[in-house]
Amino acid sequence: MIASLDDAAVLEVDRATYRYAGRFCALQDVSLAVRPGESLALLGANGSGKSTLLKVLDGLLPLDSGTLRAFGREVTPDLLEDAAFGPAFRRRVGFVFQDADVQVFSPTVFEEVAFGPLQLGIAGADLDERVHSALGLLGAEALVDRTPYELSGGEKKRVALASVLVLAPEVLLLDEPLEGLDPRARRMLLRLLEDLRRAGRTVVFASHDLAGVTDLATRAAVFGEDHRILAEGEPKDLVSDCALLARANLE
Amino acid sequence: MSLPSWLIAAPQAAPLPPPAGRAAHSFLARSLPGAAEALRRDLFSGQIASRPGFLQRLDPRVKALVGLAFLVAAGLAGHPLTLGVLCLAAPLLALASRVPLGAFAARVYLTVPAFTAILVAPATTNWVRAGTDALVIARFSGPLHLGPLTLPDHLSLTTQGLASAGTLLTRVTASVSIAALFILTTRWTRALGAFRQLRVPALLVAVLGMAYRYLFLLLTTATDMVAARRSRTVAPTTRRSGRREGRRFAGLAAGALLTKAHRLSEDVSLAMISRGFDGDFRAIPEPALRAGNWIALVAGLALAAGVVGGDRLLG
Repeated sequence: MIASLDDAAVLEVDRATYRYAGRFCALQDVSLAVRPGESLALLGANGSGKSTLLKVLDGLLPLDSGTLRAFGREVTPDLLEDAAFGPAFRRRVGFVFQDADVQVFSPTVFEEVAFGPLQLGIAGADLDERVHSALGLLGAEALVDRTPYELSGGEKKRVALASVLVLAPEVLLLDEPLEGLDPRARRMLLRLLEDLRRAGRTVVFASHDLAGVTDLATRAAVFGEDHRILAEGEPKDLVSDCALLARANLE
Repeated sequence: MSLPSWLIAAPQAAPLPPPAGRAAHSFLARSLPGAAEALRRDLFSGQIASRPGFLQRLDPRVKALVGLAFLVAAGLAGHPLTLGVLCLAAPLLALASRVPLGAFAARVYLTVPAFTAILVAPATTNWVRAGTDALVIARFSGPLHLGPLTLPDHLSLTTQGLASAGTLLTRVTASVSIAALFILTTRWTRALGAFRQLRVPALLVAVLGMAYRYLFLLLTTATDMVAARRSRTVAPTTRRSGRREGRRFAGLAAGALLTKAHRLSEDVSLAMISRGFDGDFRAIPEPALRAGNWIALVAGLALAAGVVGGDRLLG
């Protein structure tokens, strides 16, 4: 077992490389640790590897080389299939996909938000209360009986967020969370993520939009177009480094 | 970056040409609006299912079971009067359930019976089924020989063939009416819940629900692809070149959609795994049936049994 780079990390990849279909490089030799309670922004141009890294951190894509560690243990595809470890990992790490259509797959909003809790054995009045509460957090209570094709893009995004928040994950992975949201929903989400961070939750989000990053993130990592991490540090330092942003195609 | 000269050149203020007849559009371009219309109709049927009507008040499980019983009854019934009563009762139930007769007729009378009539038409003739002539269509100089087959010297509709076709047509109409009433008065989401409760495997029901959901998504994508192509079709096309290009585009669009569907299915699978799905689908349990629905269930099943019994008495 490879020693952890950062003993306090909740999630960590070490020299992670991933290629789609074994050919198209999406991550190249990436090492990154996610510390508890932080709000980490993954910045980079489209196709730089941010979304792939989030999927790797959620144990959804097996690495071609390198390691993934979660809560102090090395995570392998076999371990994720383990009857005890798999559900425990899923309960502690939540992932909101960039494309809400991918995530909103159930016949109604209620069933969508209830999907995760049901898989984890929550049912009855507890389930009902949890679902309504999660939708309330995102101002989406009125959508509870709607079908996915009765939702706008922004509404689907909010439902997708609620469907993950309902599991109260310790680590929240968000892929382009602000994309497609109107200004009011955007403000609401930024406030919610800040509240979650203050409550001790760990938030990792990918974005190619620098607006709002300095308000939300406590640390940032910038991806280059060669699928490697170019720099890590204070968000305000990174977003004011014009040369770095130009190299990352973010300026 | 400087703009290329072809982009800088001021557009010529030429007048728009006069109309020159309808442009040729591909099969895909002509068919997809129809599919989109089907989508719109489906959404409309969701609104019908929300109306306060007779069948809408019944629990979907009761409707499914009673509907199934009546489908069996329609299958067993053979007397024209019994089948006629079933065919007449359906639009009356539609009216009682605030289903617009136009929407009901479009689903029941315009398609399935017409196709059934085409299928059974040969069986009404003496060439397929011998019987008493009801109407002679053509007479020939003698028996016709088609290879090993020898056909009668005339072509006619037979009484027996017409009676069998009539029975089949009314039976199909009655069965389709029953299915249409269930579909039009039950929200799809509640129908799925009813199927789960009726012991249809939860995973199968989930797959049905997802297929319905993503069919619409891919249909919308396909419609957008056709619209995007049409918005960039700036050169006039002849009917022949339009058809050739249309076929080429249809092939490319089908490939692109297949790729998109494949990627979508992979991502949906990952989204399910991410939220704890381990292959064992757990669904929300349906509430217990209330007394009123139990009464409706017993009455409905008794009525269906009565239809079969009455049909037997009629002979």
